[in-house]
Amino acid sequence: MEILVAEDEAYCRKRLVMELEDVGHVCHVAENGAVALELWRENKPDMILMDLLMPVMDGLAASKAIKKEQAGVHVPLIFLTALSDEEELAQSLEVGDDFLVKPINFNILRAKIKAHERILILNRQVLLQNKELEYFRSRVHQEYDMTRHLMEASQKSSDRNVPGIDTRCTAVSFFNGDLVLLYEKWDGGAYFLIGDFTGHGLAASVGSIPVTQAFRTMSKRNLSVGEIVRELNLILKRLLPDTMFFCATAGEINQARSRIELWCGGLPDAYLLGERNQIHRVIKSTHMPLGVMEDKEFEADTEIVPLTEADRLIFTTDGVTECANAEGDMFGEESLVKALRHSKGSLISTVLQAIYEFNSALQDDLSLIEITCSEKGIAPDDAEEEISHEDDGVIGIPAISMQFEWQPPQLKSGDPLMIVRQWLNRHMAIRENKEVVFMVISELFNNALEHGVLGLSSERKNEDNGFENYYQLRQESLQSLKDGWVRLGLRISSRLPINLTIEVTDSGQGISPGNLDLEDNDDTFGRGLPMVNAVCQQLEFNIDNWQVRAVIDLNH
Amino acid sequence: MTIESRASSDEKKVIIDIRGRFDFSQISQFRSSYESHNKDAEYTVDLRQTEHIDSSALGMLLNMRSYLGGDKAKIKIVNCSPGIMKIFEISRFDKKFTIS
Repeated sequence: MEILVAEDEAYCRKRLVMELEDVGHVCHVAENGAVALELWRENKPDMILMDLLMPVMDGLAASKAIKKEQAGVHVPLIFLTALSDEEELAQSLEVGDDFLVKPINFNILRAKIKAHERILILNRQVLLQNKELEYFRSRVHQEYDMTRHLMEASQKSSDRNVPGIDTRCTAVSFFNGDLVLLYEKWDGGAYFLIGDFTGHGLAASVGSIPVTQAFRTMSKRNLSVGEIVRELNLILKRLLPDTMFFCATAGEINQARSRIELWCGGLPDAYLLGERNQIHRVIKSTHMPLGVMEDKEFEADTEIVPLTEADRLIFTTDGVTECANAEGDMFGEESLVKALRHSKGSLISTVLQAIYEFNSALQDDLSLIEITCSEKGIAPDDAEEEISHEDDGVIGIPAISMQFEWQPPQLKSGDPLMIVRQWLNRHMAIRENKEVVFMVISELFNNALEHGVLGLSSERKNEDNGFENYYQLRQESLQSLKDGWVRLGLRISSRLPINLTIEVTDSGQGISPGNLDLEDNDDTFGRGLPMVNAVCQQLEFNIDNWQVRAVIDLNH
Repeated sequence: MTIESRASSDEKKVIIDIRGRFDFSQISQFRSSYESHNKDAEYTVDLRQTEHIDSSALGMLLNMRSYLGGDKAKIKIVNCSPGIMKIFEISRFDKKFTIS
């Protein structure tokens, strides 16, 4: 160790240095307090031996200055003194850590140095560990912040402001594994999910990231509730450890708010309230939570509940019924039902108020969804995004022409028109009318193929089982087809009003117009061309070259 | 499977999901989707994932309707996109089926 020795008496100083160097210490030597302070600043020794009575600056003053400057670092300080006044000795220990009375007994000095060295080592270890702890603490904090950001960002993909649907999931409940998701459909309907991962804290909530992502993707794809929960179960079964699962209720409500489809796995009862808060229905969980069952055992069957305008629904996680007060009593289902039945205004506020009265400390760990059926979803607007155009009606997209030709090998393929749909789907004006456009193309193509190329007659559909026999025959004739073709020409205009011209020719005798009036009958056939006629601006049959031409207006 | 049907546990409600194209290529699949259930059940044909239909699909729906008792059949067609809805309206199917 490096030891600072401050002693004004030369003999005593030499003796001390000799003794200390003998046992391997390095000494910095000062003959008064002022020099001692200088040396301490320069060398930062591990320990200090300080005579109390010295000229220029005495030991006590020097020690006070040193202690003031060392800030937080422990440097053992032993006073050497000839004093025997108990009062003064006691006072010196307010600054120093120990004292030794002169004449110095070197055995005791060595023993004291050893003892203080042990304390010093201990002290340095604690300091080091504190530093490490501080480092880990800040790292955990950083990681927590990062995870929090990730989870909050992923939760932002949940919709808000869906008419008639009110949700609540506080940050605290979210970080304890609660999840509330809402997704508004294009047609004004909505998907929702409320759930609760087992466990508490950050670990419980990590499962919410894949669930949020998958729920959003599947909602966008317009999947059914049954398919959504099946997929979520698969994801969670794969990701979560066996001890962890996700109690959840998933649902879809239509735009008119007249029908709700539900899958309930493991959450407490939900309630359907009618007029005057009468509980019309208790919606019970009928399934195991998500992430428990293997896919083949998983039950995705849903319940469809018809709704009226007066209906309201409330879904909660078990944070609501299981929250306890200071006496350890749980809020419970009875209190929940009682609160709901006496609700004035929003059900969520009613429940929160009741829980606040029950235990004011528990406000933050609750997740709820309320649906008010009198507020309809927003139906899609007919005048959606319009294709921008110049004043003279010329649009920014060029005119497009495409020609398709099918020979027997292509005609025999499973879905010959798939390629046409794939190309056309890329055009915005077509996409907005795709069902009608594809219907027209499909009718004209199939007419050309069945009547022109294959020579089938629709009369056959009139017989017993004719409809199916016809398609059976179509299949057989198609399989044995050796010659023949169907050609399809498409042209999309570059001028408003945008229209699509469809021309179909075939190697046979083409299409005959027949009766183009739509008749309200129960016949399973004869609807194709009349439907085409009804949606097209023009429909022309050119018997001379077996061609049919249809023009569809794409502006509405 | 592009056509899937499932019944409620009491067999009183049947939901038939149709994915992708709904036309004559699905003819036998579609028929067995309702023939395998009770005739007097309430049927819901869910078109949420149907991308396009043509007149043969309409024929198939009419076949289903007559198999289930004509005017007595309980068939709802749900989740139609606006375009499919338009096709049903043009062909006056909204008079024969409950369509939403």
